[in-house]
Amino acid sequence: MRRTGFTLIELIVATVLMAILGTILVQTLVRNSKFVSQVEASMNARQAARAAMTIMTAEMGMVADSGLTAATAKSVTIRIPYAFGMACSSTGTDLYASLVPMDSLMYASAAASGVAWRDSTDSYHYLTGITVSTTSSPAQCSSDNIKTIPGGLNVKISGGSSISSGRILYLYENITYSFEASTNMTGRTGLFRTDGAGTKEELLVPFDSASGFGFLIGQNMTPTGTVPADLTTVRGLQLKILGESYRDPQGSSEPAKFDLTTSVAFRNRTN
Amino acid sequence: MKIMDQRGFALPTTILLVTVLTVMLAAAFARTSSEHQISDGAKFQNKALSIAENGLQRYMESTTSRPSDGDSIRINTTGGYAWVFAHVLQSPADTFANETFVISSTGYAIATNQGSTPMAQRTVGQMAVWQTGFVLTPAAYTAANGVENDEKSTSIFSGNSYPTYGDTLGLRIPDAPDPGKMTVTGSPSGMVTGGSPRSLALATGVDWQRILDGDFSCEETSIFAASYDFTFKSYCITGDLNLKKYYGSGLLIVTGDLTFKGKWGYAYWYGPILVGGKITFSAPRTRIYGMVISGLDEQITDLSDVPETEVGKGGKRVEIFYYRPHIDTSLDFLTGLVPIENTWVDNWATY
Repeated sequence: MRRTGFTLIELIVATVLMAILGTILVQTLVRNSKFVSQVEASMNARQAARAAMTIMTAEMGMVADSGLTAATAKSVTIRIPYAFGMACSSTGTDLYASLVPMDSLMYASAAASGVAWRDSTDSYHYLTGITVSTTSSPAQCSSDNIKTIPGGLNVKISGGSSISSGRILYLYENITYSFEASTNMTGRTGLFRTDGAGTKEELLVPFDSASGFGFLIGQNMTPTGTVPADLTTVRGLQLKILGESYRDPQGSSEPAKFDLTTSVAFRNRTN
Repeated sequence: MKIMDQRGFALPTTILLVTVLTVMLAAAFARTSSEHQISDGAKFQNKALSIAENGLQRYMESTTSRPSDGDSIRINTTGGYAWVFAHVLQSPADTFANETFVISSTGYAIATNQGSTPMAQRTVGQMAVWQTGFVLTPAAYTAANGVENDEKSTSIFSGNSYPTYGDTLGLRIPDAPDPGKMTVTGSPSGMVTGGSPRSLALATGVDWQRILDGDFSCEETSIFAASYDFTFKSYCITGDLNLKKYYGSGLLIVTGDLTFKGKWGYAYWYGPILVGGKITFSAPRTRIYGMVISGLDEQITDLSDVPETEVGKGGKRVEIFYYRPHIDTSLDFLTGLVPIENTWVDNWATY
């Protein structure tokens, strides 16, 4: 039986067509790969920036008078409230207090740096050198007609007896946020959080080295990048969060960036 | 046996190419989609916070009667709803003292095209006091600046409320006035004297410094010279005020001196009057149904030494009747939940 074979011309045409199709396919693959790489890098940068913003804005929104205790363009140390409540009676040097429901993880991980109490002019005063422990007995509060809110806590604040019953108070932790050289990714910038016990943790990485803090000053919350001489004039912070991708996307010699500059007002400041 | 024609490979090549492109496009769509989801997540978190704050504010503004412990309400807003709870934190034994509440609001953000399942939720809290508008009423007329009495006219100071809302003193002053024509009634006493002007001014319970600082807001900051207004508004007048042949009502606060003027007839006022300086009664007859406090500047060291109020001078007749219903009506606008400043809670447990 006779079988018809390919002619030379057929083979040449087929080879040329295959070459053209192959080239198109490879170009498409390369372009798609670059696109995917860029999207991935952009997502990395956004995720880093958004995660940093979420963490910091939640904590900083509750800051009160004299909440900012130290600052540079790359670092801020803040008295972060983590549990609000009301002072009950005291015994010896111990103060009992009723705390309103709070984020349990935030409460469990916090190391109290002190307690702030509110006076009749709405200002807060800070008391350090205290220790906080949970007490199951609400008697010291109920005698002052102070109740325990469902989901709240009764605590004993050793060293807090100078605070009068009925005063609103909050427990706070001195937290330092800083943008500095990453320990997880060499050559990159990371966001660090140092808690009240002095434990330093790298929260997120990477960020552009230009990331840092601005300061909102006065009634008009005027932003400035200069650290004010008097930190009590600061009414909020500007978070300059420049997230970066882990790797340089294909076709680029630098990581993708995402600028998420935002402002956080200290909502518990007087006036 | 016939062997099938095996020429041509365009079809398998095309199928392969289309398959590869489809897979890659699908991957790109999936990544883009996940990026949208992350973006949407952040958007809904912000929305939930906004709804929670909105719910809290609306509850505060709309609550007109004292909430019970554990009171809750669902407030629907565009793009979601908020559940607001009110819990009593402190309920003082003194029933006239303000109760302290903790108000929490959980905002739920909903995507209209994805059913009723919340896309995000966020809880915020705020401490607040239930303010009743109650003021201490030491007497029908409390003159921290003292009273100088003239004997040409009989003045009346009555602490007996009508019909019966609880009586009080008729006249409370630092020093005994000059002897003269004066009818003073009340319970447990008509007139009580003694104490320093400052201690008496402070005993009124009025935070005069805050009023001088402008921290207290009234409905009106001016008042017409002559009127027949019985709408029981609140008036904050900065400086001195002259009221001529006046029929007015409500809460009247005058940071300077107050003068009732008129050549004939009565000047009437229904409600409480708070005056920083002294009061001059120059109308033939001045009649007040409510309560009066003068000399509140005595609270402030720099403003103290307010001249005494003269009553009965030149035959001018002064009649001050303690009348609780007018006082309560005048202070109704103060009743409600008032946020305690600097007690914003943003890490309220959500469960």
